Amino acid sequence: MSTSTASPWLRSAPYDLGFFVASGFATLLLVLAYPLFGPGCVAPIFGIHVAFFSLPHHFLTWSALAPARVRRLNAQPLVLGLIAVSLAWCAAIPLTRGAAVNDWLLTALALLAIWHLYRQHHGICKVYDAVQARRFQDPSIFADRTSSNVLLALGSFSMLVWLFTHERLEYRLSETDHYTIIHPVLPYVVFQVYVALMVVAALWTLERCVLARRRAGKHVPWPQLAIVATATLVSGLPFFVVPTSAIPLVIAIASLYHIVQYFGFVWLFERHRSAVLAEDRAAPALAWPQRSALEGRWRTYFGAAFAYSAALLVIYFLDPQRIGLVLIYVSNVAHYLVDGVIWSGRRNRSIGPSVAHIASAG
Amino acid sequence: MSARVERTSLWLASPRIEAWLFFASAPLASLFLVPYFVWGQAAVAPAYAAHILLFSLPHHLLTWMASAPEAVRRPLRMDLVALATAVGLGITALVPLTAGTPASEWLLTGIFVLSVWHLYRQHFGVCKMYDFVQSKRSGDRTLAADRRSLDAFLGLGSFAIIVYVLTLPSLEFSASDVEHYRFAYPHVPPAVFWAYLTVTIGTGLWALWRCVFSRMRRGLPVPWPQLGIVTLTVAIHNLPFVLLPGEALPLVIAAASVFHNLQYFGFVWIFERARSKELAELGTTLGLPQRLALRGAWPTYFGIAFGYAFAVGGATLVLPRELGALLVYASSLTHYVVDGVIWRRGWNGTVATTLAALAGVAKPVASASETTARRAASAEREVRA
Repeated sequence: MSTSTASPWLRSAPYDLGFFVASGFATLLLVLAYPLFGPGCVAPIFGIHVAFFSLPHHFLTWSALAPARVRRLNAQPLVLGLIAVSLAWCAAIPLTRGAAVNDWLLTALALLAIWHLYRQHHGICKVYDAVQARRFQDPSIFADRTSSNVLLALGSFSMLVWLFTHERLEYRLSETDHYTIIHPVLPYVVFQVYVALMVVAALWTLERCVLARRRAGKHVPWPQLAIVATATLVSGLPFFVVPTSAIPLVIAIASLYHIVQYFGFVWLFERHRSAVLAEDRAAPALAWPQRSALEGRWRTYFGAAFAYSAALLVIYFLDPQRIGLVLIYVSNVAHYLVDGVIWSGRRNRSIGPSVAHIASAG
Repeated sequence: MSARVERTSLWLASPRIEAWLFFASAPLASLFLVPYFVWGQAAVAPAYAAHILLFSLPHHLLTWMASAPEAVRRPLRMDLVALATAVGLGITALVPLTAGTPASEWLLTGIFVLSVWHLYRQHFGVCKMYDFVQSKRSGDRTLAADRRSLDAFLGLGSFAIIVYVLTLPSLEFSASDVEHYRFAYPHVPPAVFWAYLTVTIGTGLWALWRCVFSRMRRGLPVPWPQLGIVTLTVAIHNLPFVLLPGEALPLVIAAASVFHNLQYFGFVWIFERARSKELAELGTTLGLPQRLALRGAWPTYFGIAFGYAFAVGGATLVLPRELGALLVYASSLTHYVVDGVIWRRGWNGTVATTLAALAGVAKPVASASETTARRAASAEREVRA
């Protein structure tokens, strides 16, 4: 394929823009629920986000990791260790209720969640880099994109820096589900300096990723820039509309964007990985998640994810304060930690061939 | 160089340098604890300041000597070095910005944890260098897998001290009138520390089995240098806290830091000796530090580092105290962050080449763009494999 006609998208402009970019703006619209319906909208929106998006997307991690054929590709001892850490962490949450350390445990969990969202956006941009570097025969994309990686990191945590300028922060979803967010109270000038750094990073990105690359006759990484801009807006904009007492709503919005992106990315990845794995006729047959992906049966694939969510919710409603609560927390924390391993090209040998397969398809 | 390498040697390059700076350095560093037993709390501030001046500051300059000259800059991802420097300076700028606010305790606690992380990463990295060199020389592919247990023990053991601190109701770091703060942390029940210790000991026993007994039974060489470094690191991170009270914490840090500094002196010197030889053979025009390393002129090489330390030390005496302290923070923090960039094989084309030379295996020097191109092509190779 000629590099001048190569596509910068992983699959196609409508697919990529729909799942990876437009989903962010769509979820941002939820912020309008607060001025329309008041604080009463926070808990229902958060609940819907957990039941229909968050828990199902955890399942995708397990279906991308657990089947024997793909399990052999991953760092098993590390994954098992991380699941053990998740169990210990989450079991401590109900056990420490009422003690100061409980606030620390839940604050750490919230920070891990924000880190996880950031890492996913970063990771998808990296996949774009790898794919574009091959299609355009242009390895300089990695170095040029450093500036937008910095902007993404700064943008993803801007909300946190702003929140930390407040004396007291409470995460309050209901009378039974609330905790004080432990944090340093930052002088406002720190946030101003942070924003100034973001502006510098944005200008640097404009120069390195757009202007300099255009001058050099190289492709501009628009998909990555769109993801970086969307993630930054989704992280920073909601607090212009809602007060700090609506933290769960803002978390739900950022999380929803990340989850829809995850749905789109994992499906695309599994489609290509299963094609690569299926080429090895001597290997054992594929398990149903990869078979479903290979055959394009997305209803079966995502149906199982929703069934997983339903099962956890049934347990939660039976014992909401102990087993149900711990299971939902474990599902979250284990997903955060394990996801950090299974999408690392160094630890998962199926990433490279699958990315190569995606690149060859464009 | 390749011809002279002993294929069964476990050492990187120089048993004498390694024995002194990687191993004997731990008991030597522990001497920093002695003043406390003689003079009590009054010894803490002077001993801590002495460690900064004589060990910590000189080793910061070695980072720049190993990355700034043009000949070594070319194969290095300088954009990442610039970014890391900006991050280090940014964290430094937060020190005066948050001074006098509760956020200051968080920031300084964060810097403290970063410093412990930095010590741990160096010991980890030096062990990884040994792994690379030993497995290249002997062709033993099992070493990396066997050594994972020891890596886990090093990670757990290095941070046991932090978990122990979490069990204390409160703790203050007081090294001088401008460097004192209360740590911000969650107070956890002692049972958490005991559970952590149990896991750490269990991992230590696993490491002993995998790296010593199992390898002996299979007739494979035992990675004694790595075992020595890990054991000494875990000991020096934790034992001083058993001997000294919490108020002497700066001395505990000084001892761990001096062990790390001496190791850094040895490792950078060994590395620069081998790298400058490789670069000179390629006809590269060397910068001053690499020329000194090539000539073996260590008194001049380290003299420059001590000159930097005395210049910074002198400036802290002349400048207002807060500004002087900030200068030391800037030196430390940029070193912590930049060091995390310049020794990575993926970001510094000379690391793999130099390690290969130490192992006695030839490998051409890769430029930064070649390093990047390699990353882009790595998945392609996996497909072919």
